[in-house]
Parts: sequence; structure tokens; C-alpha cells
Amino acid sequence: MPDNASANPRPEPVQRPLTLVMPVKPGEGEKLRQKIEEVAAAPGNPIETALNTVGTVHFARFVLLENDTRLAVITTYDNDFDTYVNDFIDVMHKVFNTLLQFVADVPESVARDGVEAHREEFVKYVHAHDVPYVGSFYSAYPELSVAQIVPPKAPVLT
Amino acid sequence: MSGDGAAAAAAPAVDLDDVQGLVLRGYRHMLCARHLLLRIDRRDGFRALLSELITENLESPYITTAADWEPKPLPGDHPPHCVNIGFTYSALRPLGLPDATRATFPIEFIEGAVARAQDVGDTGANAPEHWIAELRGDADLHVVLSLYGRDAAALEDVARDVRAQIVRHAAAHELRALDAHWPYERDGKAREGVVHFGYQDGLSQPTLAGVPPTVKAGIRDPLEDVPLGEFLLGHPTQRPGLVHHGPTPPELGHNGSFAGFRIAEQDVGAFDRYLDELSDGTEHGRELVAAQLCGRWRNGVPLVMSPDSDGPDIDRDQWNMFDFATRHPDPTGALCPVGSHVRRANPRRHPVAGGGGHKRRLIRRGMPYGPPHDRSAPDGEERGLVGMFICASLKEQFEFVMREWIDDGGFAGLGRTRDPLTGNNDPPGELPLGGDPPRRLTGLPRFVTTRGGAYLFLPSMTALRYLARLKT
Repeated sequence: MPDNASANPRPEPVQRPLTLVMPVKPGEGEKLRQKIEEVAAAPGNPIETALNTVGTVHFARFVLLENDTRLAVITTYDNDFDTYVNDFIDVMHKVFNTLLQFVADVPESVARDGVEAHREEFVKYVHAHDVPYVGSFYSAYPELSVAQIVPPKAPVLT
Repeated sequence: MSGDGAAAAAAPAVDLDDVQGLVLRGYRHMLCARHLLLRIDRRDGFRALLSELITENLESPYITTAADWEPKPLPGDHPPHCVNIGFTYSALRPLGLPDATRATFPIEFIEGAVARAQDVGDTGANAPEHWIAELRGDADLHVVLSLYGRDAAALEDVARDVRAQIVRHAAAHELRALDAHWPYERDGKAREGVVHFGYQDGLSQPTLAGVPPTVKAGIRDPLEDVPLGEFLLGHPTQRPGLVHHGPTPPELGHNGSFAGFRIAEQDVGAFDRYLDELSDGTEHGRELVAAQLCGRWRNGVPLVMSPDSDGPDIDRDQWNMFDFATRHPDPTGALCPVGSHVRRANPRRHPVAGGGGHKRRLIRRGMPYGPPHDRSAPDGEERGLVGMFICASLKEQFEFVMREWIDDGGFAGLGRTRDPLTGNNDPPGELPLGGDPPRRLTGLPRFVTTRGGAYLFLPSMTALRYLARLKT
């Protein structure tokens, strides 16, 4: 780290965890699994491309829990959630909209018009479904953002 | 209404008569300004004042819109003065807006600049407790009435007339007047655009879609035209599906803007000393350090286009034709430091965290205050810049740029570094330089200190009429 690492102290790791757990519509679990596999296998994997563009996510994965009745999005990302949420929605809204078709309790406006048109409602929904960690959040490198580990990729111009 | 007819492009044209002039025009011919900080004293009196200010007439000053000058007041000429108005959240109750309406403003505007000082790096010596008294707690500041004059006499004329109107209506109490002017002269003429640090300023401004070329100020850049909604409420933004509507009803919000009003003191003595210390002692060495801090040579030529000299052969209309990626790529900052001022304030197409280096645009309207600085005779006088950062979302644009790009470096892999020119560098900061082997400018002191701030709502003309006609 530069000599002035203490110039702008932030007490917590620069990384934050998100554990988003959403109820799957009854009986839709298998279709959701196929859809996620389909999106991930698409040419140029749109999820990977989007995350590369945003450049603040260290790790991300989808997990189906409890006999495919819950969809979990588990990620570790940099900075406050709200800071880059609009940049996220810009590049991820099509993926989100595809997957949220299978989620049981999405706000009506979001389900109807898409997350991009009702950003605040979507953010509220995410906050409400983010399961907090218990105890402490460990990081092996609390000072390092994605941008410091790998140079940001060229943005997708939208 | 301008921009209609065959020439209208795909972007919907803006109603220039409905937008305050300061938002869309750079007021290039205005050489001095006075910001009157007002507290509304009498609701009826202020509404009467507002009614006069929104009526175009030949007798008294009125709010300048973005419409073309020609018909008013002198054909083909520039007006002798301009007048614009902004309100703090604290003004909304004395204006008579009901609670339910006030609650429709964005949270950052409701909280105001003092409460959110930490979000824009206004800590330590920049903290509100050190600001000028009139801006320290927003409670008493309601209105910033900004007057611009093409010369000192024109400014005095409009200030005298406006103050007479305020007194006649017993509308408001003047807390303070903040004066600004372009301070440096050459051949007896004011050198517009040169700030106390010696740089040409205000060169980079977004090009707005739907605004006719007669209004557009600034030098063309290679980025896409920016949708109106980044600066005017109620229009589509760069982001899919996102519109910043501002307050409701729409006649109050639509075509309005928000502004971060700032007074930034500039320590030119410290700046001069730093250039002396860090350079090789030659004038070229001093100018090179100045260019590395800013990303432009002091004459305005971008370092990325001309890394070795101030580029006397590069035409002014080319000074924004770079984006660090496709035009004049510089991924490592070998030509222009990634942490320099212009690459922080506007990273353009350089990849940054969030991927939105071109999505956090601001319109900058600043003018220097205080006497000219004489390098051979330092005087200890206060001098700096006073003006506004205009946008549709203070949170997504002004606050984001100040917090993530100016006051931190993580967005570009620069660690917890700050803007070398305008950042709150206490303890001293540093600027990594590109190239091989990598070097850095160290021991950067704080050159700029915040002396005050306020979050302002700049209503449309429709909204000003709405406010003047309120009955509550």
C-alpha cells in the first residue's frame, strides 16, 4: 500500500458480502436451474461480461437451496451496495429480469416493467432479502478492491 | 421553443424558455458575478418578488432562461447581465410548499450539504464547522440569487435594481453577498477562464442531446451526447429505464436541476512552493509538474495529447478530443497520470470500477474570487473559486464524483489516494505517475479548502410560476 494508506481510514474491509435469498415460485425450481445454466452457457456469458464491466465483484455464484425452493445469490463485492447499484442494473437488468420471473415475491412494478424501470423498489427488495452474516466477516486482504487486484476491464458502452 | 423544424435530431428538443439559463449556458461573456445569500422574511413579499423576477420586462431584472438572446433585449447582442435563482430545502416551508410536497424531494437535498459533508470529503479543515457562518447550518439560508454582469458596472446596475426589489417587497434578508470575477488580464482585457492556479478552467463540459448548437458551450469531446435527463429532471438519462423525476407535482420538478454550490479557497502560495520543490527548478519543470497534477498544461492542452510540451500547434477545438481508451489510449497513465485531476473528475472511457466513467457527468459553473495572485509578491489574501456543480441527481453525480473519484482512489486501483489538485490531502498525499520505472509525486499538501457549500434546487420557469402562485 502507498505510504499514505492511513490518509483515508475506513474501519471495515473494502469488501462486503451479499447473501440474497429469494423464494422460488412453487414448482419452478427445475426450470429456474435450467435457465441459469442456459444464461451461463450463452456465447460470451452475459453474466461474466457484465461483472467484468462493473469491476467491483470478487466472487459470485447462484445456489439453489432447500430442494430448489429458494434461489441464493452469494457475492463478495467492493464498497457500499448503493454506490454502484445503478451501474450494476445498467449491465445486469436483462439477467435479473430473466431470473426474477421465477421468483415468488418480486414487487409487482418490478415484475411488470423490469428492474431498470423501478430501481429503488428493486434495491429495497434486495436489502430486504439480504441475509446478514452471523459473527464476523473475514477477508484475507481487507484493503484490496477488485480494481487493485486486476485492472478494470473496458466498459461495455450502453 | 427552439430546435423544432427539419433540423431537429433524434433527441427530443428541450424547451429553452423553460430552463434557467445558467444550466445550459456558460455565460461566456459575463466577467463578474455576485451571489446574494438570502433568507426569506415574508412569504407574500417573496412571492411578489418572484412574480416580478419571472416576468420579462424592460423595467427591472428578470430570470435569464436558456432561450436564444436575439429578441431580448438587444437584437444580436448579449444581455448586460443575467439572473438565476436556486433554493435550499429550508426555503420550501417559507415558500409555502406543504409537507407532503417537500417530502417528494430526494433525500440528499432534504438533508443538505452540511449533513452530507462527509459524503463529499468535507472533513477536517474542509468540515462545515470551518465554513463561512452563513453556510454553516443550512437553516437560515433559503435562496441563492446569482447575478452576472458583462462588466463591473453592469453587475452593480443589476445588483442595485434587484436589491431595491427585495427591499420594496420586504421579501428577504440579505445574509451575505459573494463576489467573483475573472481576475487576470492581458492587454487590458480580462482573461476569461483562467483560474488562480493559472490553469484554463471549464474546458470540459458535457454536450447535451437536444440542445441546439447556438446554446452549447464548451469544446466538443468524442463521447456520446449526454441525454437531457442527466441534468434536467423528468427526462431519460443514460441509464436504461431511469428518470430522475425530482419533486412532484411534475410542474414543480420537470425541467428543474440540482446544484452543489461551493466556495473553494485556493492556496496559490502553497501551490507555487510545491511546483518549486518538486520540479528541477526550470520553468519547464514547474509547468510539467503543474500539468501532471491537473492532466492539462496550464494553457489547457491535454497532457495525454502532448506529454512533452504545452502543444502550441494543437488547435483549441481539439483540446477535448481524447477519452484515454479509443482516442489517445493511456491505460497505465504513462502519458497522463490516472490520478490527475481531469482523469478523476471525468475518467471518460478509461475502465473504472462500476464501468461508468462516462456516466457521472457534471456541468461546472465556477468563477474565481479574490485578488489576482502575484508569484513574486505573495499576499496571504483569500482567493478561490465560487460556483455550482449542476446535475439531475446530487447523489449519483455530484456526491459520487466527490467521494469515489476526487476523495478516494479505489475506483482506478490507486489505493486510498486523493485528487492531487482539489483533494483533501491531509495528511499529505501522493500522485502515482505512469511510466517505467513508476514514479510518484509525494508530499502533496491540501491546495483547496472548502469554505462553504449548499445543495440548491434550480427550478424551471414553470416551477417558479408555480411557486409564485402558491396560495397556502
